[in-house]
Amino acid sequence: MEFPANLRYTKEHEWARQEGNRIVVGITDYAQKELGDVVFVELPEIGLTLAVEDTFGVVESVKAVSDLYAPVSGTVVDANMVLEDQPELVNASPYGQGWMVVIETARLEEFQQLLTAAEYQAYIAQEKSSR
Amino acid sequence: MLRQWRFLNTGAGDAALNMALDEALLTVHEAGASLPTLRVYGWCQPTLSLGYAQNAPQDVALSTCQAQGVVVVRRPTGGRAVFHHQEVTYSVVMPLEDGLQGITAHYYHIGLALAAALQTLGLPIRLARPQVRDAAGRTEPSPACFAAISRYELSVDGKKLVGSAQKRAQRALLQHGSIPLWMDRQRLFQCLRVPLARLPALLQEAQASMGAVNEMLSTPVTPTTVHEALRTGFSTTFGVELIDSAVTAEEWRLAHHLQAIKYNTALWNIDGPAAWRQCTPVL
Repeated sequence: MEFPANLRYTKEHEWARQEGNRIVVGITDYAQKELGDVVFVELPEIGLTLAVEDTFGVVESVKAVSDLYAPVSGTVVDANMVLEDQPELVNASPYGQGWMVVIETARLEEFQQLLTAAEYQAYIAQEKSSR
Repeated sequence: MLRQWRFLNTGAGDAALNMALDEALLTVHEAGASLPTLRVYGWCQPTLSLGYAQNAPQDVALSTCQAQGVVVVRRPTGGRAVFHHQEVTYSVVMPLEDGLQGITAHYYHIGLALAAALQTLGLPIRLARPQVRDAAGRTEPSPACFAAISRYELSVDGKKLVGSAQKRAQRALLQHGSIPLWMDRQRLFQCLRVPLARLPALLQEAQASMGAVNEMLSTPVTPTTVHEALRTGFSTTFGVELIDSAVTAEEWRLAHHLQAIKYNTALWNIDGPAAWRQCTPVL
C-alpha cells in the first residue's frame, strides 16, 4: 500500500497535495482498497465554496454511498470530471488519474495541519488494531 | 450493563417519508443527539426504490410504474432498484466508531444480526462471502438489486433473501434493507426497462435467484414475527438492549422537511442528486 511522503492526509482517508495556493484532493490507496470497486463518483461544480470538513461529493462502491470531505477551506477551481465516466480510475490510480478536486485556499495553514504520511500510517494501524 | 439502542417500529409509511426518516435518523445521530437505532417499517403503496446514483430514465419504466400505481423514490444509499411491497424493511443507524471499521465490517456484523434473526424463523440462512475483484473487468449489472448477491448478503439455497445498502457519513452510517415476505418478480421487471425479449429469461433467473421469507417457510410468518426476530438478532449480535422508542420531534421535523424538499420531488427521484442539488438551496 502506498503512502507518498509528499502528500498530506486526513482521518477520512483523503490525500492532499499542495501546488502553490491550490490543493489537489483525492482518496488514499487504503481508502480505495477498503471501498472496493468504485462505481460512481459525484463531484462539485467549479466555484463551490467549502469550509473544512464540508462534504464536496460522494463515491459509491458495494452499494455504499460515502461522503467526501474538504481537507481545507476554499473554492473549488477544478474537478476531475473524467471520473464520471471512469470511476474505476479511483481504484487504479488513487494518487494520479483518480484525483478528485482542486481547492484554491487562502489558508495554507489548514494544509500544514493535515496528517503526514507517517502519522496517517500510524492512524490506519490503530484503526486496524481496534477491529 | 448492556449498551442501549433504540427500537422504532414506524409501521407502513409513505415512500418519500420512509426515505426521509431514514436520512433524518442518520443526521440526528451524526450530530450526537440520539442513540444507535434499529427501525422497522413497511410501505403504504407498492414502491420501486432506486439507488443513489441510478439512472432513472434509463433503468425504470416510468409510465408503467405510474399506470400500475407504483411509487418511485430514490434512496440516500447505494445499489440498484428494489421493489417494496409485502416486506419488512429494516434500517440501522450506528456510529462508525463502534469497534467496527470499514464498509465490509459493517455489512458483515449487520449481516450476522440479520442471519441470527432469520434463523429464529427456521430459515437456513448463509452469508455471502466478499466478492474477489475481477481483474478481467466489470460485468454490466442488472438494474434490479435482488438479481445479484453482494458481499455479506443473506441467501437461502442460492436465493437472495435480504438486499441491503449503506450511506456513510463522517461519524455514523445508515444501512437499510428489504426482507421480502412475498415476492412479485413479474411486477418488479415490469417496472424496469428491460428488453421485452429478455423478460421470460429474466423472470426465470429471478425465480432461481430471488427469494422471499414466506416462500421458504411451510407456515407463513407475519411482519410482527419478523420484527421480534430482528430485535433478538440485533440484541444478541451487538450485545445491546433494544429499548422501545418513538421518533423524536426533531427527527420528525427534519424528516418532513426532507420529504417536502427532496424525496417527494421528481428532481431528486427521477433527475438525480446532481440536478436536485443544483436547484435546491443549501439546507
